[in-house]
Amino acid sequence: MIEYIIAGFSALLTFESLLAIIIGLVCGIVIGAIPGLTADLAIILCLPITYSMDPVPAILLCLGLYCGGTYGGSITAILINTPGTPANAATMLDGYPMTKKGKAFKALTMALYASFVGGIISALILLFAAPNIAKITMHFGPPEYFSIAIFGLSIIASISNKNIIKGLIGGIVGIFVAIIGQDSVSGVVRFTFGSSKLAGGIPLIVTLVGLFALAELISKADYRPNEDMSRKTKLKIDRETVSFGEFKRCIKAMLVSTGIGTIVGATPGTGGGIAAFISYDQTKKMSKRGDEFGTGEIEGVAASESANNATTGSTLIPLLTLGIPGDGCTAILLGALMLQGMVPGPSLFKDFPDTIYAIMVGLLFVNIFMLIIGKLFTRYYVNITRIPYELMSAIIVIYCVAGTFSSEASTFHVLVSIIIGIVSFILRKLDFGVVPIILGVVLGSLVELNFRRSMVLSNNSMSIFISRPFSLIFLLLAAFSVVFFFYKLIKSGKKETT
Amino acid sequence: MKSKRVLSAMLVMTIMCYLVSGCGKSEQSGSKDGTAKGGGGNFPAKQATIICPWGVGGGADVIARKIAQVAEEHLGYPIIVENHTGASGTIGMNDAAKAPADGYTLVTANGPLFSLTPKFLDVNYELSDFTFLRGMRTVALMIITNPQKTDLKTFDDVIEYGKSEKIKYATSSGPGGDQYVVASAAFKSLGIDAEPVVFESQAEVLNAVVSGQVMMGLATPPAYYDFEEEGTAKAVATFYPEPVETPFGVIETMKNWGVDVEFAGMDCLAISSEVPEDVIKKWEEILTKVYKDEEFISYMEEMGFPVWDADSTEVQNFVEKQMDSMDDYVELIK
Repeated sequence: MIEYIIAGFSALLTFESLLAIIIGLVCGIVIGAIPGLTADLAIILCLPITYSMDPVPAILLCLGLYCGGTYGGSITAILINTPGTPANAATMLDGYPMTKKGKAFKALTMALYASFVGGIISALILLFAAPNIAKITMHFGPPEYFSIAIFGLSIIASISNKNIIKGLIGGIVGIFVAIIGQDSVSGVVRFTFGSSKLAGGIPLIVTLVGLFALAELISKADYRPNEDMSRKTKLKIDRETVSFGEFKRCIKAMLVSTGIGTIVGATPGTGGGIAAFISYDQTKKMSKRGDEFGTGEIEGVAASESANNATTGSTLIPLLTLGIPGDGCTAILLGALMLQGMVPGPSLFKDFPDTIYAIMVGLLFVNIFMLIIGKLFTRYYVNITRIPYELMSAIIVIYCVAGTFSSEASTFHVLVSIIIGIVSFILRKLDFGVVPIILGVVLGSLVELNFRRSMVLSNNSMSIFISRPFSLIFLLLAAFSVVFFFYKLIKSGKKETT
Repeated sequence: MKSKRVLSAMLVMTIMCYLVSGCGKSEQSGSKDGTAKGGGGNFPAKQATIICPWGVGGGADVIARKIAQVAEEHLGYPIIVENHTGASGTIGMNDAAKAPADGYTLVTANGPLFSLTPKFLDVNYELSDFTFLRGMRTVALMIITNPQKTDLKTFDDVIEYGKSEKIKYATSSGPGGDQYVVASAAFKSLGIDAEPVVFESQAEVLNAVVSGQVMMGLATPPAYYDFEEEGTAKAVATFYPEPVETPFGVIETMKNWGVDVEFAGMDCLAISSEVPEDVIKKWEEILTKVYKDEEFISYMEEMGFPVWDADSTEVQNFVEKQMDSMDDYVELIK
């Protein structure tokens, strides 16, 4: 193996490869940061360019876009309360409150450090343990996917706090949006109201743009620049960076989240968004400052950003070893590999060891460069908050429309996202949280599909979910998550009455 | 003051980014805005688009991208592959049918989009809307078992097992999909009770079989070859009309067990029927050059895709024949 790693290094250390990493990262960060444009789109746009390149730089360009995009999405999540990509939705929960307190620079720096820690650890795990992890996750089947998704949904409890009923309603609204379209098990078309355009379902990016970006813009419609206090007083952006004490405090959160991100990422069909929410939730429960989560707690940013970047390495595990993409982005990477004449699967390591090891070592470099580039530019990102909101909103609208249009090249989907934006705005006004909705959207179809697959496998016996160890573990975690929530609710209720 | 300068620089950059991406987009959608101008005298005059109704990275998509890459040199303009996915491929087909008939929009299609999907979904296209340009590849559908984790080593074992137990098989297409219909028809005519477990992709199907989560699955060569080599997967029968030669031996057809169900998968390139004759001719010429191109041939070989160099009439006959047999199968499984 060592000789492969050395061979990988020599294949990697070419001008073309390193340039590909840097270009990929810079473009990835910019595209990831723009609401409506995701790393998926960036890789699709770059596919034609990768044809003419050698396999190693071609794939590294895609990985740069992937990692940069996953990190870049945190910038707008922190600065303007709109996640750049689905993976960064959890970063918003504490990142934006930090910005409101004038601590944007600190939040951005922490997001960068956390992304680096998550990314580099998972890249190392990919390099040294991919085949072993693949041996475990290949035994994950529908019951395990179902249980992981249920675990993900159980987070609705802790995220909604006392608003649990509204949280549950939000989750159900999300699941409803997720099941629109053709059901892939029975072939039945559901909730499309006769529109053939809806038969394909609503793409995640369309929902995301409506739910977060457009709704945020609508809710600022009554914004009066002249009455904006922060503008009058010239809100000072603190240049204070992450202190050593704070970094130390976040280490536990980052390591736990990286572990969660790695496991979730290695499980096909999930992705960075779920990993970030699960990690956020676990960190909140573990932290001494758990009660301050949601008000601008730096550990929250560290947890979600290390988790989503930890998926960037681990999603490659099932991709490279089994040919199964871990999320939407890796599904496109699969295409990029095939265009290079490499068919992901068990023979990949046998047939192209040099290339594969170069790619895996390259992922380490991607993360190191990401840290450097991020360090250099973070001080400039902060200035985004200085852009007058009336200008900023116009720019966001343009990108949102471009992003939703480009996902399916259809104006219909732009309309859908505007409708979702209006509904989301009304729900916000009624005091519903949007996070349970996005959890429902992301996890709804995963829960349903895998429940039905499991039922076919088990002859309609529910015991399949508890007779398999991994499935049982995740279900117990979900149960614990809910019980813990009620325990805390009762405890705080008692405190209030006494 | 400094921050103001940085701010204005950032604003200018954002606007430029937007302009660049905006221009790119309008160029891309250009093919849709153009209208047919009499014959195709000045064809080609701009970039072309291949609509792929399935996702990036699938077989049809990667072959289309390779064709696009090689054909660009002969067309003289870029060819872009756009994935219009969803609703079993009908969204892409609807878009292709609606595109202006100026010859700049091609589509990758397959048999079931005409023979099967319209029976289950409302579609806005029919066979006569399209003229086939060329076959891309043929696909043989195999029944795969796991001889290490189950006792199913031949198709006879499968039939024997099916007499006492309900068969569950992994597939990547649900009701209304080709795999589901032909497998259901085959099992029904054998008097076997069977139910599909529908997965997202062929890789997931194979994983489910190899890890022993399901007894058997449906897959196409060469995806399962690696597993057959390590002994965790084995093709026991094929739905292909003729026996299929694989590195591990010849796989017999369903007729061998007295089952009159056959299915050959294929992908092909098609274009709107309203496109002027001479433009279609030009595309055929370009594709002939592509199929003779060494780069294309060696790529297809490397990937294990059997090239199906069938002309327009051949593809048309193939699809018409499949439409007839699918009618029978759907009737059978009702």
